[in-house]
Amino acid sequence: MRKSLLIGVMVLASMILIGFFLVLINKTSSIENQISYIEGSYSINVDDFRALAGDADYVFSAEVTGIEGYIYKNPVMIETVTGAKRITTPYTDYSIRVIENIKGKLQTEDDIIIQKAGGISEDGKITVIFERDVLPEIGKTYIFYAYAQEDGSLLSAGPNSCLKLANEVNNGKKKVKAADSTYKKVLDGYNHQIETDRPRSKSKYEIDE
Amino acid sequence: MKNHMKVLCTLLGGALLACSMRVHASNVAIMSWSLLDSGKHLDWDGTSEYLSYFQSGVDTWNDYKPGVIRQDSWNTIEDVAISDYYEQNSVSGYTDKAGMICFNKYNMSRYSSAEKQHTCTHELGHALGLAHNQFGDIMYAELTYHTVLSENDKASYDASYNR
Repeated sequence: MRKSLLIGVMVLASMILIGFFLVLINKTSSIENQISYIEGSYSINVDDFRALAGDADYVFSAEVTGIEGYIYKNPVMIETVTGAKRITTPYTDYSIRVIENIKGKLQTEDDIIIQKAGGISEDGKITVIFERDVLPEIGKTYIFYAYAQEDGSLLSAGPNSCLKLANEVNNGKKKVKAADSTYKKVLDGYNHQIETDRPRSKSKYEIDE
Repeated sequence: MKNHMKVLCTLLGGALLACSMRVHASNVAIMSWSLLDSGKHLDWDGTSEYLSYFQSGVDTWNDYKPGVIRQDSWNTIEDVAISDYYEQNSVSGYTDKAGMICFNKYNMSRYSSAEKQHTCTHELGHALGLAHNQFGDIMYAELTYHTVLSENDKASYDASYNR
């Protein structure tokens, strides 16, 4: 009798423990999947491929080769019930290999660095990204709409500034699938681009013609 | 004959009424979050080169719902902090649900007064929980010179405020 009671207690304890771990795992994965979208206003129609091409300094397809790090910009202090709290906007530095230059001419022989607005928040709890934008994944191919900054670095920020592409390997070299519908829209947008009159900078990765 | 005319008039009247209702139906667009606190206030603090335009934006929303947006004081908890930054891209300003509104000096410095005011009013709209809407609205995503709340803006504000 005493033995069966002991077994019963052990089974019950095991079930409680398993349940506790299941809840914990579920909670952790839900934090990892939490995405917070930044809302903004824009100088162009960010849903128009012609405007995206005309406003950007560089449009190209590239394979993401690595993540170089996270940077936290635009810090502000905000009061909360529990005291002052620092809020920042995350940016992610990616190393990429340009596959094809569509607008402008960036080096294709070596990896270059591009900064993307968005990334893991400073407290590590959520992923922050602009509405209708994606954070690139290593090994995948994307179209980048990039802006040269005054220091020659490259920045890609805002809705539709990074678009995932289907790719194929041709003669051992990665190529963008020509039939990819996004790629076609990007090319068409570039061919009919609406050029913006604004002060522009030059990328340190640009190749002189 | 008289009966036919009656039916025709009723049908015509109904069609006209349906048309006018369609014209006046507002497009409500709200986000899943807003920075309004539990007391339905948006208390802001911080600094910006565009403070006068920001204040005009505050007045625009407060003219519709008085007293909702307030400058943070010693007896309130700040809901949103405003600041400026500089980056070459197409972003005029952005709002983060963590509690910040940031204005991009690269674009803002080139805008007309109406465009600056539009951007400030637009970002406040996001802080109040409004999503992007149609051309002619403050909440249209692309830069315009509109500085007056449209029916869509008002209906969206009502929906966000009353949720």
